[in-house]
Amino acid sequence: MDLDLQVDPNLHSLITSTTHKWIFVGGKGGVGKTTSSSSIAIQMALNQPEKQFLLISTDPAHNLSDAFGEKFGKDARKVTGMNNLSCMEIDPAAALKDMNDMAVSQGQGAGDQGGINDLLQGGALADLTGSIPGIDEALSFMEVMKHIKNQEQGEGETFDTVIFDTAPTGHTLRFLQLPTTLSKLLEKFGEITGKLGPMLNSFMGNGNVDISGKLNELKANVETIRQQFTDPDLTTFVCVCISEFLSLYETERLIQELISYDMDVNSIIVNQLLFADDDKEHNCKRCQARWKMQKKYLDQIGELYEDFHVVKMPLCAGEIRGLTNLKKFSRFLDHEYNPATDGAVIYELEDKA
Amino acid sequence: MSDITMEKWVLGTTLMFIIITKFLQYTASYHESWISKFTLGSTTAYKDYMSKLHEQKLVQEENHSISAQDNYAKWTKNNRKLDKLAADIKQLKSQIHEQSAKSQQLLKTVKLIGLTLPFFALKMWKGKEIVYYLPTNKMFPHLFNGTWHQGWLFVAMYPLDFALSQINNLYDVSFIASKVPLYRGTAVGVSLGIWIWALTNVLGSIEFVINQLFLTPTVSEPVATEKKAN
Repeated sequence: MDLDLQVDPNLHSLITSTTHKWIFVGGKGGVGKTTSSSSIAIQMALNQPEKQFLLISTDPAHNLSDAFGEKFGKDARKVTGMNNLSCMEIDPAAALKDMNDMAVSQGQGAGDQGGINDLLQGGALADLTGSIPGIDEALSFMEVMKHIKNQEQGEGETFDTVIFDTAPTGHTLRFLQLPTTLSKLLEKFGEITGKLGPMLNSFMGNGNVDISGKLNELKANVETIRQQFTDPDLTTFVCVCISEFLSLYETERLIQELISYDMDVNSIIVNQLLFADDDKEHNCKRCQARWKMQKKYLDQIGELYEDFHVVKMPLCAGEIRGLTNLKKFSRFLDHEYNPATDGAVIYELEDKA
Repeated sequence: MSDITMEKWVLGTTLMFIIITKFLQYTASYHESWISKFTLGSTTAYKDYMSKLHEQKLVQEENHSISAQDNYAKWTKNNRKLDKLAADIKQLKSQIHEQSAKSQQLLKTVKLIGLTLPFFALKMWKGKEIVYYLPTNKMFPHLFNGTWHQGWLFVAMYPLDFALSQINNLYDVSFIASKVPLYRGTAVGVSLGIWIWALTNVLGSIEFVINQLFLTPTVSEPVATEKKAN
């Protein structure tokens, strides 16, 4: 089996990177995204003990707690056994809905919390802007960023790198196109307000709802985020998939979408590989057949993503849960898995049941 | 009918304008394709567009002929190519539409300057000149005689004409009549404006008859079907 690739088939350069501030881990369909994001976070924390890392899940169906075997909530908490890795589970859509409901019930922006609350303006503006593509994601994301900032203030320490275990919906980063959409919208707004002038304000109800001002503010905020997210030294996206047609097809679509957002994506983790050729002791016809199918797609991946770090991860005998198992498993992100010498590891996972 | 009294060049020019207008009317559905052939056929955008469409078709056919699972890499590379071609084609299409819109606008301007305005100017300048005289002024009522002789404006002026003619029986209103273009002639002529109107209406009626008799598909008579008894 020829697994020779020109680019290193591991994430060593990412794990030891001192510049990356934002790492997104994404993929669809139960491919091992949470395991991969947890593994990346653990390896980074182990390799750079002087830095602080935050692993954050934005999936409404959280499973970071399940992955580590301990409970995490919307406040960042250090992982038991690690001094420099914290985890957090936040549902940005629910948080945003709560804020919106609060703003509607109070009839105005809730207090002076600035930013999103001002934008909501009693729910009216949310109705108006809700149809702009990407705006929900932008508001959700800014809620996340605000939360991180609050955590840093509360803990008294900043996080050097944040790893996002993104939701499978994939549109999380759609808001990166928002500045372009908002620019066009603001142009139109400018034309209308220029023609109608003060008459428009009299239709807008209580107070002065400066829509174009708020949208400009939102646009500026998103633009700032966008600048960071399109800097390949600061941000990267790691795609997780399995060696099957549908997963690869989804991965390809995800990569093309990320490229359209000018986002750096140069790593793919291929999970659940059988490596049946090297497993003489524990083998079966079914494994052989599935491995043959997986190899077929692996060769295709190699041809399609020549410039990518394609990391091949094995299918283990048990679930990878708990810090100990994750540490054992995550090693292979740093130094690629060699089925001939590392094969025993997949049977050495501790039973977390 | 009397001989034609109008200058031949006026009549000839009028007929030419009418023929060109009718020609443009009958060939209206072909204008866009003519414009595209003459103006777009040689442009780079159009050539690129056609070649990319052809390439897109070939790549699509290739993708349909291979198995996505067995040739995933090739299939995906083809899909990437198709996405890029689709984006290029969309951009070229909008370029071509812009060019086509410009050409159509140019054609409209040429039509306006070369046909509509000159025809209008001719009607304004020579519209009241008589093409030919009717043999007698007793063929039509006075209103019609005035209209044929002086044009449609006579219809609007007719109430004044009628009032003045009644007043003239009692008082001399020739000084008013001299200022207002009222018809007082004994000979009835057909002015150019009216002649153009009549000609275009006759042509329109002939078009209608030909269209109805020969160009409209026949509608077959509906056949009543008997309901089956239950």
